[in-house]
Amino acid sequence: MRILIVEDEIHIRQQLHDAMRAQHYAVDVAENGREGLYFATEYPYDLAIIDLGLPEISGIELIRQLRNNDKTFPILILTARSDWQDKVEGLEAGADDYVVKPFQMEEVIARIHALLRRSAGSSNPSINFGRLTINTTAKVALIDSEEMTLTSYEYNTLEYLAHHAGKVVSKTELTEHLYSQDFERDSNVIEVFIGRLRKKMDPDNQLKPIATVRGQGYRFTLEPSSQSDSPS
Amino acid sequence: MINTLFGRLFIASVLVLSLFLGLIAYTINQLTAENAYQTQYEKLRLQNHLLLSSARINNDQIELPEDLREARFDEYESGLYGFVSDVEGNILWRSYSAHSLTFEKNIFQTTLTKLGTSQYEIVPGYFAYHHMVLWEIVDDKPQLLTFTALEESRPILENIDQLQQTLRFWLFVIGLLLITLLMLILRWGTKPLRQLASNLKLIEDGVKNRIEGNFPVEFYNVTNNLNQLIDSERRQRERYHSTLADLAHSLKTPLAVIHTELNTTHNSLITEQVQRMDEIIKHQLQRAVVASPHQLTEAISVEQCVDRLISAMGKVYAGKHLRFDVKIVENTVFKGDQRDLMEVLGNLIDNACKASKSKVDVVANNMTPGLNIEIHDDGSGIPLSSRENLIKRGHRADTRYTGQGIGLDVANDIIESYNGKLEIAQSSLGGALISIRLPQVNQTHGQ
Repeated sequence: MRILIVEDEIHIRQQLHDAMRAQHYAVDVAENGREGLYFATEYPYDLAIIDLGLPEISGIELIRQLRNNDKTFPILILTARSDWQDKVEGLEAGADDYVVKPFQMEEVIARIHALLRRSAGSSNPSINFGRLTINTTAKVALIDSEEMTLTSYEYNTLEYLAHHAGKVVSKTELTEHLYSQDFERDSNVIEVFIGRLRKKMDPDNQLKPIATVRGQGYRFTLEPSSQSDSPS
Repeated sequence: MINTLFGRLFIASVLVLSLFLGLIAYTINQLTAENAYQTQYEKLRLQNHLLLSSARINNDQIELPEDLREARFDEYESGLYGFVSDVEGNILWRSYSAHSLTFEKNIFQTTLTKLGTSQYEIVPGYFAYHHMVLWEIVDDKPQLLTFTALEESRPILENIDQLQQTLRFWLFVIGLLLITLLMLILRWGTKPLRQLASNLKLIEDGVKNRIEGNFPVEFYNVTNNLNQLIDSERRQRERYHSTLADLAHSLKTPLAVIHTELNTTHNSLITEQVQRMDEIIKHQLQRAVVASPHQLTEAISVEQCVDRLISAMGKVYAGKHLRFDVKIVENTVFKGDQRDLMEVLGNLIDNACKASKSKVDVVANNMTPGLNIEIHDDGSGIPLSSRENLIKRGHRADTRYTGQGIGLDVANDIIESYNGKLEIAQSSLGGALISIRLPQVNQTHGQ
């Protein structure tokens, strides 16, 4: 998952960056609205954290422009102004949730998880695919109720594919959602992650959770069980 | 009517006009009567001279020709009568017109003492003109004679009366016409004042936010100054909001940094104090931006505000799949600052969303004077023992009931600043019911 953070205050920006990295998200940071708009237009993101009090282009204007440009990823707003007028304006501009400063980082992380789940069409942190279960809050995957040992990139690859179950995901798309903008990219790495995931999830080659679509990318073949979307 | 400018001007004008027309009527009456008397005087003087010039002495008797040049002397009871009498009032000659009539002797007893003098008077029923002469009738013996011309006064007085009545009627008609015109002129003249008052009422009612219309030059300064006052008040309020928002941003951003850093060091004492500082800043800033109610406020649609909030809450609480039931009577309005209404409802609906299991109801109307809003939820409700403390005036932000967030406290502060009341009860949905009663803005004044 790739997240964009648009925050002008250097310390908060860094703290958010570190917290998101600790959650194994690919993170890009922008220090003003103009830069944020550029990043959001140029790169695919799964979520954006936008401060409302930004220089150059205000947070609300940035959100409005993103929505006008058909950017549909969830947006979490950070606001120091706790009055409802500002919160409602931010939500009306196209944001999906808000956090008032000063905030508990745990709260921001919880909101991000909820937004990502919601955007994937699930309200439950635990996504069940029969033998495979992915807990998006704990960032763990279990096969036959046993936790798999996955690196953060392997987990992120699995979560991204699972969120787009049934759809073809190209290597480029995967790369862009797994790595931040300043990361050295190598598309062969994706093949390596997919190979390792197949081995760890399906050592007997019976489940076949990830199919290769020739010339296009990969498709997550497992279907979510009905109880995975019920409220916890 | 006396309390209105139009009424005062109208009553004063009607009084002045009535006095003026009354004086005119009196003067015209007097002049008409005077003129009639004077005309009659001239007529009778001529008639008298006619008698005098026609009279002859024949056989020691006064004689006048039967065919006088004034035909009315010779017509039976024509109303014009001629007489010659002695000083005792004995009639020596009378015209044919007076033959069948009897006259009081004293009519002919004048106060004339000098020869050749005349007397004009009104006696009961007649105008009389007497002229005294000294003629030698019998044996060349001089004798004082009085030539009198009498004319019945009734027809003349009736004429005068009729003329005066006609004059009075027309003066009355002119008076009515003038009063109508005056009323129209006053209405036209005071129209800008009414327009100004109506504009101010519309601003009070929140329909308009500035004075508009074509006002006379004399009103430019007043309307411009009022518009400037309204605009400057609005700008000042916005500046105030903006400054406080900047202050909030300036204070809270470093607090956010400290807060996050403390989470890594796990210093619970400092974390607690930072949280407390944050809540105090939040609480005091929210209290500071509450506008005070005044007459020149806009009417904010409660439904529109609730719809915006419900739509926002729908996003924030998407995971709870809440059902919102909004029953707001059409044209329910809040007279005050939009931010205040948004803050009150935002906090209360947010609390209801947090507490509820599946349903939040919002009911609002202007049924009784003022505004009534109820917010119901199907949560676990607020314990009876905690209700009073939650909305107690001056209750400190950092000692509030933890179950209800800072919102209820702030909402109550805002409601109280509008002289309203916030009450907590048990909802029919099973959870809490928060009721707000706000009086009309004009009722809060002078309290």
